[in-house]
Amino acid sequence: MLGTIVELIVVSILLSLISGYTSTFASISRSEFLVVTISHTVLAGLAALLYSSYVFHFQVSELHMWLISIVVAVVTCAALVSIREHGEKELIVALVFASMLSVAAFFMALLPGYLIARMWSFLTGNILLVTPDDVLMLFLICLVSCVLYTLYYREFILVSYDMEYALSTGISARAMLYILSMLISIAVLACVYIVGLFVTYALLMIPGTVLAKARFKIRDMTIISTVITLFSLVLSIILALKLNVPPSGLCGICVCILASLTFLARAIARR
Amino acid sequence: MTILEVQDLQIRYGKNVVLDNVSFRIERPSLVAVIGPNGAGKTSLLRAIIGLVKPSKGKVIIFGRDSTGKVAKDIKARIGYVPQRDVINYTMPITVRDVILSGLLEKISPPRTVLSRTVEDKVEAISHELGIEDLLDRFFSDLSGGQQQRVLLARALVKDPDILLLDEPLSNVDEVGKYEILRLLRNLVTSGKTVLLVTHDINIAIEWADYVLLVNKGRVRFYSARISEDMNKLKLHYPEEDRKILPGRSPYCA
Repeated sequence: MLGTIVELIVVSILLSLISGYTSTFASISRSEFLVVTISHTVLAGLAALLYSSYVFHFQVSELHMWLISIVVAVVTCAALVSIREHGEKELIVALVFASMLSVAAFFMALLPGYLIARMWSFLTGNILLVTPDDVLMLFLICLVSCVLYTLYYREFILVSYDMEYALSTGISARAMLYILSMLISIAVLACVYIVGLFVTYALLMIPGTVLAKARFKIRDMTIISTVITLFSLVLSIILALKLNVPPSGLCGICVCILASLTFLARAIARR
Repeated sequence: MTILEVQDLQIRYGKNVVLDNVSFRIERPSLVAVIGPNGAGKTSLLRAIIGLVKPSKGKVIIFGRDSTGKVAKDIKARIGYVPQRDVINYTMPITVRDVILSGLLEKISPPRTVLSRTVEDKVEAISHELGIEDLLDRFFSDLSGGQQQRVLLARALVKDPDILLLDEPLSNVDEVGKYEILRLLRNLVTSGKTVLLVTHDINIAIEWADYVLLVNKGRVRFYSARISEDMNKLKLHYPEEDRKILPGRSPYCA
């Protein structure tokens, strides 16, 4: 029992750190489209993979699923960022979103019962059921994210704020934009695995967007987003264990409430 | 001394030729106003000089080095650029200090979470010079148009460039603000810098610039020193529909 609690605390901390950075940078770089499209593309990829495993009779381990999802996320992200630079963002996002959701629905409808349950776990998620592979991948994603966000913090801010100027300087602005987008995409993946697709948007977009509206400085946004997510995760785990309900939905609700309360408190303080 | 030379430049966006057969040379120090009506190709010209657009024909030579389509890092370090303000993400809660600091990014190696005193000093010195030291901890989006423009100028100037490329820095700035910015630009030229100022205000060009370069329909229609008699011909080259914006000297003339 103690081992499980320690594991849950570790997962909560790792996911909060990833979410804190990602939520901040996804909102300031206006990358909501990445969160939406990557999550649905990954879902479609997972549905197709599970269906293939059923048809061709092979076993898919958690680690394999993670690795394939990362490849899908990275390739989709690269394509989306490249398209974004050439305009027509809204149209492409709508097309990718709608088509990937349809692909996911198609394969999910073909899955046998025992795989439907596995697929459903990517939609609703359950932090209480994380596997050692999940923890390992989460740790690696968190490590890479923390290192890159720390190293290129100011570059990421600049490319989010004024890409035209960034391109005119000696920094590799385009590479920075790609790295930032990749980090956001991989964070989406982590959220889909741990808390499920339904709650991913709440975790990765709500704190950052609300805190930006509340006029917090970028560094403060990252810290507060991390704290909000950590608190929400821990609270939802406690409530889930006490009430015997799945924690993901509770976590999403907590994030929204805490972000709103922070916004209100800030608005009152600024008067 | 020639600081910038453009030879037979052509820029295409697909089949659309936005600039064609553009050639001119800029000496240092000087204030060159690039004027022309909306859609004339002024911004494309500036973007081609800084390497953001690859010309389909012609050459851009900066500091004696061919920089066509790709500007080397050491050359970029000597160029200050102020893009149009509408490309900026105004929803972002970024402070003035961070905006100015981003002008020094290429000169500091990562990680930049803790900045040296020298970097902080440079930011404070340039903000003092431009009279924005009280704004350093305010959000950029909370400032007036004139203040924002001075912050963007500070970002371009903090790395001490030899040439400044300014794209419509006077748009949405009130008359007093315009005067202050123009006086600042003149001071920069006096201190040895070269300024390439894109504007659609012909009066400002005539009154403040050393040279006036008129671009219209993708071609250079006129390029001459302000003091020369040719300036009278400028009005003839300016599009008929825009000549009405030539009411004579404005109250804030040099």
